[in-house]
Amino acid sequence: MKAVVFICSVMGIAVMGVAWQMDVRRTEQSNSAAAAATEDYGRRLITETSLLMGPDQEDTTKRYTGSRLQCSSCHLKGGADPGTLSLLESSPKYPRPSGRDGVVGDMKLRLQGCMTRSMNGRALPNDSAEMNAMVAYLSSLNAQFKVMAPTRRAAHESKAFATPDRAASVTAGEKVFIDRCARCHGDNGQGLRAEYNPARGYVYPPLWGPDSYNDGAGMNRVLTAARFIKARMPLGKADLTDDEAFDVSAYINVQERPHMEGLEKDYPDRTTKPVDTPYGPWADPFSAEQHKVGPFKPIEAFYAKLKAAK
Amino acid sequence: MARRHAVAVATWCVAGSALSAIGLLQLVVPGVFHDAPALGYGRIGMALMLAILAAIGNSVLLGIYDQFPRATRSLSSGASGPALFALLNFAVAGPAVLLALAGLLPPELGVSRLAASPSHGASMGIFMVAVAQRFWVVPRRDFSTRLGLGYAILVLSWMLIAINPSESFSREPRFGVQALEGLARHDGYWQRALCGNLVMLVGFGFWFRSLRRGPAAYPKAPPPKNTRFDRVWSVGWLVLLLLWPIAIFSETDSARDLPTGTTQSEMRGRAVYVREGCASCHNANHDPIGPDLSSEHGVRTTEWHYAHLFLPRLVTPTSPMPSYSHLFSVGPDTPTQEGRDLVAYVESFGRARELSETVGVAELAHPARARRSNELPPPTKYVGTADPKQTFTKHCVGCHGAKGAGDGAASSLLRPRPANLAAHRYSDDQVARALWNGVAGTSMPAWRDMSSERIASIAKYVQSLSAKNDTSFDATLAAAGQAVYAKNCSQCHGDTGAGDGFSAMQLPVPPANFQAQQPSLDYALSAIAGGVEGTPMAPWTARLNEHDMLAVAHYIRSLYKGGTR
Repeated sequence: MKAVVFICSVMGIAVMGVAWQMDVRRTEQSNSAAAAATEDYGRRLITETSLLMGPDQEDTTKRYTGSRLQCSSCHLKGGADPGTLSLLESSPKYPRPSGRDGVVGDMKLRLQGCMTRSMNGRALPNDSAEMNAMVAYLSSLNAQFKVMAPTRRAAHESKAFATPDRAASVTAGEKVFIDRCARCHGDNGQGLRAEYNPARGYVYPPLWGPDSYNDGAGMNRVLTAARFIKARMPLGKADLTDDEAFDVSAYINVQERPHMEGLEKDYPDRTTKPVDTPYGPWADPFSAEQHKVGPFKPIEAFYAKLKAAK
Repeated sequence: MARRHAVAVATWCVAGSALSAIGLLQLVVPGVFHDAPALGYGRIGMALMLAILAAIGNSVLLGIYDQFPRATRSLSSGASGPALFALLNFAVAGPAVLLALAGLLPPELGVSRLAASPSHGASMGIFMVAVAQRFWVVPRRDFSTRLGLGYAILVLSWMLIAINPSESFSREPRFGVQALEGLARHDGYWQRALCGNLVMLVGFGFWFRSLRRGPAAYPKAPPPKNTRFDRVWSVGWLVLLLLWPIAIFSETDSARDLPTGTTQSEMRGRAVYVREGCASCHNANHDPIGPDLSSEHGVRTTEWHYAHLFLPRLVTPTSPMPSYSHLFSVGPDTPTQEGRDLVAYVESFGRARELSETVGVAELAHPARARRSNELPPPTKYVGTADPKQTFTKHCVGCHGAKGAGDGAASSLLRPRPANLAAHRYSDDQVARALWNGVAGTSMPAWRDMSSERIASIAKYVQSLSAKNDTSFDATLAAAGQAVYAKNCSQCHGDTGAGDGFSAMQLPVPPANFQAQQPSLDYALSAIAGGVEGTPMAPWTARLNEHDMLAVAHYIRSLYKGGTR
């Protein structure tokens, strides 16, 4: 009799366990996104952008980006490298207010900004597999970041960039460019294409010209670019001084690049416009030239005062 | 009759104890089976497996035997139970074991989760001792002695094995830790193991009943005296059984690797992993049949995984792993979503642990992990005993091809493609370094589980593949190439060609070290003009004219220093 009770209870436990697990499985399945929108696909979209949704995509309806940059041209190592322009911590920051768009925007809106500006393309449908895959990938990067030990997070911290109190010198910047940058990015900033493999687009990304970012991109702002250059460039030997980074950033950003229409609609609240935004209209009396190459300190002081007055 | 009985019981006890002790010690002291890259189930393994199967079957038979004395009385005239069971064991397993030993069974059988392993040996031994004690204790109805206690513990432990709490832990491939992660992940196995073992539990039910009733077939013998032998025997067994929890918990009490950061793709891959039974073989702790995958994150390239999953023998000619081509729509370069998810899951093993530890710890974790290091294997003298060609055929030809031309069966699937060994002259150190450290960012793993003698002999063999290459260069052209090199190449390949330019460490694949490897002129020209796919080496035709390319090709050939160890 005891044996029968024992056997029955063991079987009962087993059946309950199976039922519980099947329930867990069902919940998991219903929570997961469409199969195609995987983090793996998202990672490839970030690192093989021009092949998968750019000019090198065979399906013309899926050509969303206009430049041949990869997202990972600036977000080094697919955004997985800690430091400037790292994407490791990006996903929990959204939704948040976007000064440029004048609304509280989610990550998808931010990615649309990347697509239309840095990638010089058109907006991705919000429900497309590509958009979902990139969002999934960015979330997975954050999950990775959360388990990173503090020592590893700090391993590649960028060096701080302090804005020099002067206008950037394009001529000095040109010299820095020829000495330190042209070796990879080319004498004319044209980059070096990996012709054999469109997935790689450019081995060294073009810094201006038709395959580069347009004038609405964050990288087209001298201070933003200088921060990146100071922290990351030349790759593997980021030893430029603040002044060199500042000048070379101005040299790169005075060059010709694709134009984006409708930039005047950016920053509905013009007092939130970053001081180095090179296109108007501005809520201040400074010249377009000064917004392009500085000096930026007076503009910063102007807005600080404005804010204090409020 | 009584004497025959005692001899049979003693034989079972001794054989079972030996088997258990060996198995348990192997669980506690890993290294006997564990470090084999892929344990094949040769004839002996399969024979063992079948013997184990027979033992498990016998446990059920024993329960029935106890419960139906009338039907079995004629079989067991009196006290010859143990002998009868030995006979049964042989009758069931004997022919199959013999067939296995003769190599006449299909090899696919050997890829089952029941292939030989130390824990199976241990549990089989425990079972054998339990049978023996059962035949000694039960007829005497004497459960108050230490022998009776020992018997009860044995039965309990064997039952625990049947329920097998350790199974669900060890389903997760791991390198020492990950028990909780394993429990959380491998629900599917947990269910299957429980269901499968229900049969055994039923057998135990019968067996337990017999404890109370006793098998009618046995005459009641006088109770035995507590001898010194009994005491040593029981205490010894208790000590031995203590090893069991140590074996299980020694791997669960250190740092936890919780499944933080598992992506949805990886979660789906987990389901595929469970469904396909991958864990049955890839289990360092419990069934060391396939290699340990617990630190697989970052060890191989995704392309390598696809090629290997599609047909393991493409990359490892002697692999016993079956093909999973049903996870691909056409060929190895077109994995289905399930295939992608599965590989994503496999590549996540150990990622959380790696991210939460220092770099050094992660690199130490896996012997095949490619390291960005110039470290050399421990010095050894090339003795020439190992047959390098055989080793090369076993481990290298899948990718590098029989003549080392980088054209092995898997070569076209890998990015970057395997090195063309025949088109380069390598220094002794360079080959040893590549074998010892692997090549980061490529499918070339480190071979740290290989002895330095073997590495030395392979190095010699690799060098012999390109022995006839022309090593000359044009000095005038080389001099002209120096300036071109300094302007265009040195940021990665370094000012002296040692592959140590300032960008080198930022690149996913380390740049070539021209001091230690000399490409043939043809190869150098094709790499400069066409780039090296899958690496940051771009085609330079846009920047350099033909004369520059020729000059720089001669220049890099002039940088070779060579050197023997």
